[in-house]
Amino acid sequence: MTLPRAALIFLVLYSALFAFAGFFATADPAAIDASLPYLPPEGIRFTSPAGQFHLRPYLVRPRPVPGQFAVYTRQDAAFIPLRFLVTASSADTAVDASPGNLHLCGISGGAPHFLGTDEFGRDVWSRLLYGGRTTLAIGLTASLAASLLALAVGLIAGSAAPWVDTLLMRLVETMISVPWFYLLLAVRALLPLRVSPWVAVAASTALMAAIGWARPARILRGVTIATHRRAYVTMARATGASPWQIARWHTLPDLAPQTLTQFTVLLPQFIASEVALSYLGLGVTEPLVSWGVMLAAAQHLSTFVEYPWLISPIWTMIPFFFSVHVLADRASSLRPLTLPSLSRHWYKLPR
Amino acid sequence: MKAPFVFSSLPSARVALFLAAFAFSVALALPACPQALRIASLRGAPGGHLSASLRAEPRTLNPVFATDSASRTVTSILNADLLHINRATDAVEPALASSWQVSRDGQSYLLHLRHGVRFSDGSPFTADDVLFSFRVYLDPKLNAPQRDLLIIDGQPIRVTKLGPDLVRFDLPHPYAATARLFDGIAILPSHLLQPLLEAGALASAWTLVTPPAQLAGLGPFRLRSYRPGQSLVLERNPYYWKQDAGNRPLPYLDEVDFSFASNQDAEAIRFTAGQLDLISRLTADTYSSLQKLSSSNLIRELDGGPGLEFDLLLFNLNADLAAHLPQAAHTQTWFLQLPFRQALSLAVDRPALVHLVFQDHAVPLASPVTPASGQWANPTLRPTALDLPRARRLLADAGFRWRGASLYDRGGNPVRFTIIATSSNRAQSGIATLLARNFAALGIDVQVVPLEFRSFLQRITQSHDYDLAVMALSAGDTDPNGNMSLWLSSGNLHLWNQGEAQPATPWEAEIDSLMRQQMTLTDIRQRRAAYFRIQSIYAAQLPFLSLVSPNMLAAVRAPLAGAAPGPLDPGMLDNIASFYWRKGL
Repeated sequence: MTLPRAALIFLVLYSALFAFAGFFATADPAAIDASLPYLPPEGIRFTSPAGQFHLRPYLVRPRPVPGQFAVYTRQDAAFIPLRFLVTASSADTAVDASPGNLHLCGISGGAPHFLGTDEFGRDVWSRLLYGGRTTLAIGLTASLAASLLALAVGLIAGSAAPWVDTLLMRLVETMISVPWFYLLLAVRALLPLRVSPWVAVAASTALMAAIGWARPARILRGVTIATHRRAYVTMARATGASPWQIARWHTLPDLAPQTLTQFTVLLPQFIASEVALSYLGLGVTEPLVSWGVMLAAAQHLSTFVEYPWLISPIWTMIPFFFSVHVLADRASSLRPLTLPSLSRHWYKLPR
Repeated sequence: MKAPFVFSSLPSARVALFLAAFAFSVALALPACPQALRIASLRGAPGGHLSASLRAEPRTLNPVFATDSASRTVTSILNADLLHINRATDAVEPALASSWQVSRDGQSYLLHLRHGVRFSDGSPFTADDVLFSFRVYLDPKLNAPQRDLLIIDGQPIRVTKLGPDLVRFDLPHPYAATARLFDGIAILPSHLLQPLLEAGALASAWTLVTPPAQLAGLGPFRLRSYRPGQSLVLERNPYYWKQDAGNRPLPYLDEVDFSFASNQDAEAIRFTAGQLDLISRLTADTYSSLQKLSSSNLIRELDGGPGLEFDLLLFNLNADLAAHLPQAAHTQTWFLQLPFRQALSLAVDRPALVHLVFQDHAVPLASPVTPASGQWANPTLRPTALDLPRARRLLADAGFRWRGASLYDRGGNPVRFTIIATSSNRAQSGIATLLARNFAALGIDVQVVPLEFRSFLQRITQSHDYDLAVMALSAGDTDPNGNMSLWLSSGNLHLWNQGEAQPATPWEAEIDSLMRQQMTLTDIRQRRAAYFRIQSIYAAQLPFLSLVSPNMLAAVRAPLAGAAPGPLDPGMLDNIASFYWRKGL
């Protein structure tokens, strides 16, 4: 199996983890447990405390040291049998995991904390999944919208009259020269106080897309112009093909690999933007959770050093970004879709 | 210097003190001290060097115009006051004045100055310096920040020289805590500053680049050098007027140098690396991470208990919302109902706030008067305990209904609002997150909106466009007179309803009159009774929810003795003259 193929399969499976966050999560991502702040990741053992092997794994929950804040010991740790395919308890009121929803695993009378808990005793694993869903949804939507916009602008600028081209490219230059991050900050600050968190998220997404299209549009315009100088386009024009037909048969297929590449380049960029905005408290806000929200809580030195499991979104992002970049690399070397289909279109030209 | 009630995140905000005319008279006649002030309990070892840090570079070394926190810290070490509040006992003690007397009508204070005291450049300290200093502080053209404190009912305190070491201060009206006013009022050297005042150059005098020879003060240290962006070095003042039990002159330390660290993480890194000898005003996170390091016995953590700062949940009860802010006016209809405010108070899990946000280094509060205020805190008030069933009953009795899990008001509107908090303040954002979760238990849809500090402040103090806000305030003094601006309906920290021309409610009117009354009462028991009554009114009316008071946390290198966190400015460095390095450690 080639590396790009492996990356694609990995990405699909990885995304499923976040898409079905409700199933894989073990707790309500907003549920607070004042008795277990900063709990380190809990281990899983296939042996009982007595040392006997069991097929049903145990969750090893460290005990809080009395009188000390967030200090846990593995001595006399509780061995809690893990149960699979459980329905959520009535106490579990996750944002969209209504009671009765199926979960991959759980324990009776609480929630397993595979990746530990944060400062308020909230489950990091569940927050990572729900947060990933928010972050990835924002990233995917914004980069899809930006790529399509870039494709449209690039195609029009490259094909239409020179004055249209000039106009659009000056617009692109204006967009590129805007310090977009600060613009995002300003626009988020201008949003009214009482918008729902989802509206704030949608506004950030729309803004990222509205600003992110400019650079790819410029590249796609270049590709369009290059295509238009090809002999087969000249021939198509000579045989009376309309601009729309030329776009459909020649330019768009030529632009496909480049558009895909731009999409894959934008995706990690926008995910990072979400993280940065939320980190600054300007993107996703509580009680919604995203990777940026999680990392914002881990930005202090003490957290970073003492509770390293709180930066788990970083470790989650690395394989994701890596796979996306592998795909971007592959996409840029894809052959234009034109070549194999060229002859087919050629002979269907109207008489 | 002690400041009036301030936003704890702001460097300083001076507020006029309000006074009224009643009689108060305490006569304190201490035996005239010969020259130096001897601290009988202190036996330290001389020598050594202290490295400390400031969050920013001081803007000036001129005590008259020092308003930012860094400048005030440094000028408080370079200078001295006539009377000083003992940070440990909260009592007023002699400083440059060796004793003082109050007239029977409580309007005249007679201060006997210590003899033989010299400025750090060796020139003698006389009554003329006191006269000159007060002339500067009261000069309307200079408009020093201290001026507000020394103007009583529109009339300045009058200062008269009765002899080379005797000065009389005359007040237009009796004032309950006059002696505390002298704390932090630096006495200036007239021989150096008088020519500058006459030349109109005082406001620009004594900057950081002024040569050390042109500066002089009465504090334990004097300036040695300043390197911009790097450090400010102070050296021992050989003429300082305090001694220890063995008649050894103070201060013990030879040198103090301040470096500049912009945030607490940077300070903590330098402290653990051994580049700093003490850090104070720590957050609970930093404090506990230092605690975990302290197994090496090189670091000593100091938990000074709750200070004068407290975190609160502010209800927007401003009267000007209806015209411009329909949404805020809509949510305000709930906050204006006392049962709703009480229900929210009953839904707050204060012990969880203390445990999770402050890692147990805080105390839950019943009123804004924190335990650090000592005798002034009403002992009969208890922090509200979590009681959801009672909260639900209160809401149901007030006409609120539940549909499913969600709360609806009498008019059938869903109850939902936002809590704003400062995004850079981790404790306050954490409190907001936990409160949102607490209120969700009542079926209220709460959204937390973190804002940058300036836009947060703008909403609280100017536009009034918010529903609820989590913030911190800090009392300027333990004495009730330091808290006028919070309690008086016309006060500028009366944040829940700003700019009231008249008290908006009968209970606010009662607080106003009690507050003005206590200020002039002669009997401290009567003052306390009045202040207790104010706190009881607060607890019954809940114009805001006092949540917790964080502890004053600090850490020092283990052998450093004498340092203790204190509630009043400049905190731990107040008694820097008594700091010493223990030998054999």
